[in-house]
Amino acid sequence: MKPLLRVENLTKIYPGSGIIKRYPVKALDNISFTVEEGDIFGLVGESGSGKTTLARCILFLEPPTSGKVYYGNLCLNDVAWYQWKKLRSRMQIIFQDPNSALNPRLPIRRSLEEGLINLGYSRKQRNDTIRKLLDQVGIPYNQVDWYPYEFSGGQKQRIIIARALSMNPKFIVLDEPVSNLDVSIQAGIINLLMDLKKEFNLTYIFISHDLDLIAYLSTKIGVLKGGQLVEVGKAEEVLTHPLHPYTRFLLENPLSFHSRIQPWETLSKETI
Amino acid sequence: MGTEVLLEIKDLSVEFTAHQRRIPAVRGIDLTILPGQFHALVGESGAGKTVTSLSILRLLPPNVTSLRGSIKFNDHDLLQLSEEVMRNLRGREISMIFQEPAKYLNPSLKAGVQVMESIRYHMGYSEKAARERVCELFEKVGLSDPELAIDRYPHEFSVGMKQRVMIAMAISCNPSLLIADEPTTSLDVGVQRQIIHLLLDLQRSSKMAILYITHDLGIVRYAADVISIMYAGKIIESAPKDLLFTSPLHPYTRLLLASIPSREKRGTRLQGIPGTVPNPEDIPPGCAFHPRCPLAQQKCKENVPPLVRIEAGHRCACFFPGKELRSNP
Repeated sequence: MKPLLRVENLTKIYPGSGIIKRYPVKALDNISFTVEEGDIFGLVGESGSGKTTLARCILFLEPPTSGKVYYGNLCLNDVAWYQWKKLRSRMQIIFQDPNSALNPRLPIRRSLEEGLINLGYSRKQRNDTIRKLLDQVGIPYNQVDWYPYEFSGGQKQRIIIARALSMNPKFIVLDEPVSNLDVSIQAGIINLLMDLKKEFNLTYIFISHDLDLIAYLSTKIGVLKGGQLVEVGKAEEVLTHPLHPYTRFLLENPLSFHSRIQPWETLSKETI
Repeated sequence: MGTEVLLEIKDLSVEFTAHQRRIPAVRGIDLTILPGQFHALVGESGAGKTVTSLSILRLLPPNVTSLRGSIKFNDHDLLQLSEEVMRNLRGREISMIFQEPAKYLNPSLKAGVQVMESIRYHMGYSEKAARERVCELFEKVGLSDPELAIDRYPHEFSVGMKQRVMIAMAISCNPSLLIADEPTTSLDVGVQRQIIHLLLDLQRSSKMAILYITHDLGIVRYAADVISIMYAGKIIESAPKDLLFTSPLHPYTRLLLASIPSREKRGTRLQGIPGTVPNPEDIPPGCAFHPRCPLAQQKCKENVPPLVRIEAGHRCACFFPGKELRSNP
């Protein structure tokens, strides 16, 4: 398969805050990986490990301090600002909190058609596209003039997915797309994302702190810790033969639902 | 008296009024906690878990318009006690920890001072004795250098450490019941594990009962003795851990357990639950789960299934407990 996205030695340093002295924060440290077409690249890590920063740097929502990102053969570092508008539609991002990703003062039709207007669609084309998209994500079309507050969290996330799809993207970065949703809703959204991937031949970068979820859906897994990619590889390999102690630590989490470790087995061993 | 019971909630209902609308947050629940038991209360957002725990401590917000039922704690009905007696009970007999420890610590007071406050109030310790007690507690909850930690301000601790300070505060007067409302939800895996182990250790060493509120079934499976599952303001299933995970009876519980992703399910489709969690303002009549339930019949739309005992310790509120789920489209 051909590589769709290549990240080379990506580093992001924030200047840090302070009046007398500033301590720079190295949020990402020399990160390299490749995402092939059709991959689901699962990125797992704790809060503060740089997952979201990496997502933002890949899409150049935030320019990296050093390092290069290639989209196909195109080096994103060299893209001029006026070329971005066209390129943006190829790559979309879905954030964790569906409540803050939709403008509360616009009916969802307006949020959905904004990108389509940019692409120069006529009114009729826009309505047809929106009808099709809402149908695909399982929102009835007669709710198109509702406001975001009238939908539940899971429905909002579906609308946001529809909005991302309206641009016909090649790949989507999903930054914890189900973490803010109720457990019983999560499976539905994940199933939807998997169906859409098949239908539109999408490539995902799926960011989550939940290793069970990453292990369920990824074809490739990257483990982030303290801004460094400590392990990256094919999902089966990482899951069956983890090399880094941190990956092993995550995989052996007794609090995972599928863990069969009992408290008395670990309590005596672990220092509290 | 048969077996000793620590806390017995009977037919508790809590109703709020907001914007002239009645919101039944808790709709008649029964819950029994035995001394030293790790009881997990599981449910999704809006299920009424937190309202239940706040009514035990009588810390409900003022817009509660109706509070019915009884909460018996060591043979006293907490809902009938005077505010003064209640104040002596909170922190001493029943204490609570919350999801975001940072929100519940005063940023301008040293950690030690905040923990000392309840010790001095409830136990009448002198300042020196209280300080020693705090040292002891900090050591117990795993804060390194307790002597130094006492004089630190909350911002000098990490989130995990702040939660430890909260736990130290909560166990300072040896309560017989600790209510933990999602204490590890916003924490990282490693810290989560430490806090759970700390709670388990405290539960075992001091025979303290824990009412653990969460939506995380992984933690529940690991730590709980008894699990009650809430849905739309009612307990729909309650069972000891082993029974609940090996033979869940309520369709909601079974679908919920099936919807959790795992390595083993790679390549297969996840079993989701159709529909959404009902808004507390308009809970469907009959069984609140019927619009999402694959087993729903006419009976479920009209009648509320009572929480009945199916086998020893296992209670379920469904007309068709344990029935094959595929029988209906």
